[in-house]
Amino acid sequence: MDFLLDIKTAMLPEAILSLTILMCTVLCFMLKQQIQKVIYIISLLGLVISLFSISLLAANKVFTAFYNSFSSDFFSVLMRFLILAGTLLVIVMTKDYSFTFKNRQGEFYLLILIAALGALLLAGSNDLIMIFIALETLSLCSYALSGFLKKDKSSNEAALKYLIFGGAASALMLYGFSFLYGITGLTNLTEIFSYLANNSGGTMLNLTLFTVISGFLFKVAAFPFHSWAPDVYEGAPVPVAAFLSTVSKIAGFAALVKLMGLAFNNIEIISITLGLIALLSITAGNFMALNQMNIKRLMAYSSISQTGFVLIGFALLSYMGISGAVFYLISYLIANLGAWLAIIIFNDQTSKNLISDLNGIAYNNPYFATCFGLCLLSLAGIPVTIGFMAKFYLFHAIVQMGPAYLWLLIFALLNTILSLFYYLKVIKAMFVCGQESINSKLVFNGGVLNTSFIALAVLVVILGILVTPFINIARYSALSVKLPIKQIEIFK
Amino acid sequence: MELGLVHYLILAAILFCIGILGVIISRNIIKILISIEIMLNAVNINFAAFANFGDLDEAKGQVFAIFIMAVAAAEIALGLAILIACYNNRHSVDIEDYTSLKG
Repeated sequence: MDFLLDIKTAMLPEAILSLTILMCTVLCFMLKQQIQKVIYIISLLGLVISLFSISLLAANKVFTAFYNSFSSDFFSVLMRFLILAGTLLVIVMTKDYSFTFKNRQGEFYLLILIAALGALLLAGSNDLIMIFIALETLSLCSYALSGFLKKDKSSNEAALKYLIFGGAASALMLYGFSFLYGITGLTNLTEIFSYLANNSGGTMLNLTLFTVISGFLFKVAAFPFHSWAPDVYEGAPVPVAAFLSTVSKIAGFAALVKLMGLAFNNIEIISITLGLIALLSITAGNFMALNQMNIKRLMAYSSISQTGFVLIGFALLSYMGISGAVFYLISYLIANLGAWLAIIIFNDQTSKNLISDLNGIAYNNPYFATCFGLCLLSLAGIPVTIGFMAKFYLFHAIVQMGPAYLWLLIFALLNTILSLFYYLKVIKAMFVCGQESINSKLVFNGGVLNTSFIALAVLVVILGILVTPFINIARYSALSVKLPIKQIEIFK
Repeated sequence: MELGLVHYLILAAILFCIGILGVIISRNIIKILISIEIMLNAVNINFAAFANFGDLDEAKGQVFAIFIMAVAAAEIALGLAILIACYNNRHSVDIEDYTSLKG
């Protein structure tokens, strides 16, 4: 009965999601092709129930399950909440899109749900084996999802590239895990941390840490491992691209936070390397985004540069930095999902993807243009939006670390200005290009897609003003993370 | 000469390098998939060796190696399935023919 109690206290959302997956699997085989839309409704219901069940998890204590290989602290509860909310919106996105999957709709929802399960497990994992299994559950489903349009050449190619890059990156990560196991003789993260706090680990540990981190840098599309992102986002079905740029990324960051405690004996070198990776991601993403014509590719490069901003919070290796990164992730999730919803609404009605297709859409459909504009402004970090507060809080965390991190601050500020160019390019296309150049007509109806799109855009503004509770949540969640430095007293 | 831990580690390192090199320089996609398998098997050797020389009571490394084998099999099956879908559309297994996504 211990086993059931563990599941009840630590893994309730995962258990509910697993049951939903089982139910969908059976239905997938039983139902006729025409009524597979039922699976859409069931998966939505399952996600909503499991989202509510998260509030039943006690957030103030650490609970473990499966012999300590899964631990549920406040940080992982928050991350799992974000993952479930993101998956819910991604499934909502497929409402009018799923006709492109022809007679394989059920499988699509099944794969998305399993990928979400992998992401949830990754966010709570506390053991090297668990991290590996969860990461591969997420990855394998993502590969299959990005190649879901079987007859489409670019979708195939995206899946192939994703699989090759992903396989190589996970092999590199496993090589690091094997040495971590060799040095410590342990696989449980908590035990490894306490071992490293008392022993030096030797120079081999440095190399090991970099290979371990590389697997997650791939998942979040950070600089040396970013080249798959634009190709996959462009080729994959639009909801899958949205899934990869939000849910999968949050799961990768959650696991990365868990591994930060490994940096016990080499704080400086890890901090500087992560800082450089962050800067290079921001710069590479921004420069390549400048001359993109395709809106999906633009979002891919923009997400690479946003990854860099989150990584800045990690590079500081301080509680302030982690709470900045968490808050940034929340704002990124809201604004980015809003932007992808806009893209999919546009794609559903016009089947076009170029920025020039958006020309003059504000004259035709001002609501759409305003909401899309707000989401982009939030990504760029313009005041009154949540994105501005997130950037402000993050930069505040850098300043707190003193002059040693001034270079990070200066480059991040310069890059923020640079990023305005391409976000404003889309806004300019929508608002400034004259009525004579209108390329597409967009109808606005009160469907669930448009409602959630407007809700997200309103959320971007409201949270930009009422920001305090969210900063408190971010700070509180950062406190439950194990970091190599003891500075909780200052932070509180 | 007796075989020690270092010998196994060197063998694994050589295999891992062969795998990385294979992923980078081969043009045939099946070769690339096999190279990824070689990398994963190098990791398995590492785990088994560490478990045998350092962790005899629990042998967590060998458990890990079994997990890796299972996942690697799933990954390669998925990879070949995706490759077949690609092949049906383009009739080529040369990675340089897959260049439609660019920009």
